[in-house]
Amino acid sequence: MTPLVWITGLTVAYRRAHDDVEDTALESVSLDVPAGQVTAVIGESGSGKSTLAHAVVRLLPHNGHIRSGRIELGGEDVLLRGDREFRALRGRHIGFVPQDPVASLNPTKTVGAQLKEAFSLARSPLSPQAVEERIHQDLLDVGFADPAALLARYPHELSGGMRQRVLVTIAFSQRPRLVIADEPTSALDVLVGKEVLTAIHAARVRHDTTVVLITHDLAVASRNAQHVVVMERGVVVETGPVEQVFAHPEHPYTRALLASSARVAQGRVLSIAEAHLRRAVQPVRETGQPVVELEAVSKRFGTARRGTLAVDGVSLTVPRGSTFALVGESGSGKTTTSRLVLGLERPDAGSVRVLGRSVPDLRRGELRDLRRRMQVVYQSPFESLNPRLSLRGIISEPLDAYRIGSRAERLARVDELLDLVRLPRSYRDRRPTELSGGQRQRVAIARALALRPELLVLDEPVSALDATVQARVLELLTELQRELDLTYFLITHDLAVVSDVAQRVAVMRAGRIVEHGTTSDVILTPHDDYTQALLAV
Amino acid sequence: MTDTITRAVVEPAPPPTPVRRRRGRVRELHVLLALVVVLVVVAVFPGLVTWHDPYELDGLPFTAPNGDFPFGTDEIGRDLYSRVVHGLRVSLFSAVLAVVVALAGGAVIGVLSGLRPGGLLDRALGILTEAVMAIPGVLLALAVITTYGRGAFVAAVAIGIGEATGFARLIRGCVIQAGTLTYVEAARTCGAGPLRVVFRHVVPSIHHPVLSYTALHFGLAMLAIGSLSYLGFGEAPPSAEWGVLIAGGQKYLAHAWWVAVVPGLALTAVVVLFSRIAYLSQKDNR
Repeated sequence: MTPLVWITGLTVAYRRAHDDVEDTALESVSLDVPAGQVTAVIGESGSGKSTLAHAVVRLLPHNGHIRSGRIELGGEDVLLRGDREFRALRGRHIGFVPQDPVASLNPTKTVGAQLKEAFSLARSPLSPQAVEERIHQDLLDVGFADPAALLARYPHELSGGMRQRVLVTIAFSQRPRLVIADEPTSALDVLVGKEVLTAIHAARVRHDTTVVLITHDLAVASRNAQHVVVMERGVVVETGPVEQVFAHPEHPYTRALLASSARVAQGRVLSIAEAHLRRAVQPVRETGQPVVELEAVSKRFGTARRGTLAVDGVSLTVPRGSTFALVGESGSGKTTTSRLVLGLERPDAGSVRVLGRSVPDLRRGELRDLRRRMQVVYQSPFESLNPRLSLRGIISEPLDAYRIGSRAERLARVDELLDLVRLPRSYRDRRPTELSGGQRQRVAIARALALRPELLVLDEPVSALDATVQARVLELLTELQRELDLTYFLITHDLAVVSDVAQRVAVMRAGRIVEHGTTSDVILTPHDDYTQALLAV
Repeated sequence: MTDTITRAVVEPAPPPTPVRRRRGRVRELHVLLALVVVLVVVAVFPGLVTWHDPYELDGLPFTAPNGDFPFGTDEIGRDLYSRVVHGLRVSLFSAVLAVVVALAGGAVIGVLSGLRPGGLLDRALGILTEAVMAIPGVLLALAVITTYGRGAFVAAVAIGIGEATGFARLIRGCVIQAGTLTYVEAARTCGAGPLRVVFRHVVPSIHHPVLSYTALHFGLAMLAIGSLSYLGFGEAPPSAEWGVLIAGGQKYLAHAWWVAVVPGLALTAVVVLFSRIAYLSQKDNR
């Protein structure tokens, strides 16, 4: 089979902001992309997979440049083209689906205008009427029922999935030979992401396009690609047909990557139920009083007429010493529910009892006392740690705030906490920017544990992390739970995470709990249609 | 053939990247800050760089600029160079006073109203700042001067009060924005009280825009104080304040241009210096 894209010895470097040092992002990368098929480029953050995509479409950030190598598209070395000449190629022969559908459409122009712009930028020879007909047909193909109505709308009126499908339409509009999709689904909910991938496949098959799919999700790669390129720190470590690489990985990094994913085994994707049976969570003794009790809790944002009911009659109990997972997509009300538990929002109706106290009735001082016993770990450790403080300052923040112990005792406690989350004590003088994502999340966990709380609210604790790091952080959380007898209230969109750590799970949709029970019951015998759809991903 | 191709790829001409431009900006910023230090030293010790007394009649009236009198002399024979250098002290330090008043007032009002946006305190302070903003700055300064008497420092305080409103708005916005940062909320759920949150997390995260706004308004304050003196409401002759010098020299513009133009240029140069620093320091954060 002839390759459409042929990359040899591609080296890309980024110049640092303050000095003349250059960081190599890609180190003599060579690979070929077979025509007419889907090639997945997988790797963790920092592996250079996005740099590769951007180098091919020549959209590197200004401090990045190609130091050496060749990129051939259909036999022509495109690096020999000047920027102007290359621009004619981009759009007409290479389509690009970006990662962030929110930032990638112009908010001041209608969808129709932006679709037409793709034709005028590529100097399409089609007549205006033919352009309109093609747009209409393309939009039908990617699953829009009423293209005419869509054309007059602005991006902000569309959901993330709809925007991404518009971007897919734009990428394929000039019938390019190659479409590069850079993490097209990672900003989307699982079910929506599935729709977008279906749209890409529909367009690809119809127009016989070669697709390069950049992703960190092995299940996505395995389901959607024929070929796979595994990258680690700027180097291609393994390439080959997907089945072969996933079934018989040769490079140790590929093996580690596959081992970290609960979903891929022996070269195929397991269903969430199968994965659950493979590594069932240990049951725990559920003793004593429940730690969290919600009863018929409702919370509305906005006015009664024009507001949204974020939480609608939710009742749940979290037994002591266990992990309770609240699962749902964005906008389902799961985060609002956790904020009600933490006392950051007040419910409009119903009762919220945490550790035996009714949260909405607490005075400010009493709430502050209760917060000693419940702490939070936020989704993104890149945002939840003050970049200006050292780890010591961050971890001892709760100790300082409650004036616990002397300076020396607090310092000793910081060391103890660093041990607890398996970080070297010498890290205490570092700043968060010097740490990796997984290390930062460990710091956030250490801070949450500083006051020896009984309840931890984990708000998507691993979804901002790489797969191999996710597994390690979840492991740490499980160990800590056993050691310190903690109760976890876990908020997540990812049923795979749930099946790893939670004993009980509730599935939330549009503010309501549609299904709840023990993790095994919900995952193995789901009753609700929505739960079944989530599990089928 | 292949040789030339690879060479073309291997050795691309170093492009004038934003990184390079940024480095240039940092260097320029350092040079300008060094100039500010020089200005401050000169303002504190004007005797270091002058050899005539600013108030003595050392030369003939209207001597054109020459070696002994670099900027010439004024209508009664005083050394203009020495007067400009000595005047710097008044101009610079009254501008410092104005900005300190503006920053302190603005910080207190801005932080207090930004803590609970839409709260009672925020609304009350909002009405207050808008009321002050509705009065033109010069009018406000004139009112204060009429009440407390003339002088550069009274004028500076008056201008500072007027400018405090802008600082208050900026700081309020920054504080509200910082309040939505996850790490600020995280601190709150850690049990940190409002004061702790403000001083440990919010204030450090907003100092960049505030500093650059301060630099800009420093220059503007100098200009405003000069204007007031020019109008006769700030310093009085024989003070060497720049506004006074410009006002005194303008009558002789036709046959001794330097008496008014040199202090005018000095004032312009210092204002441009500070606004350039403001511009560069703002760019540098991105």
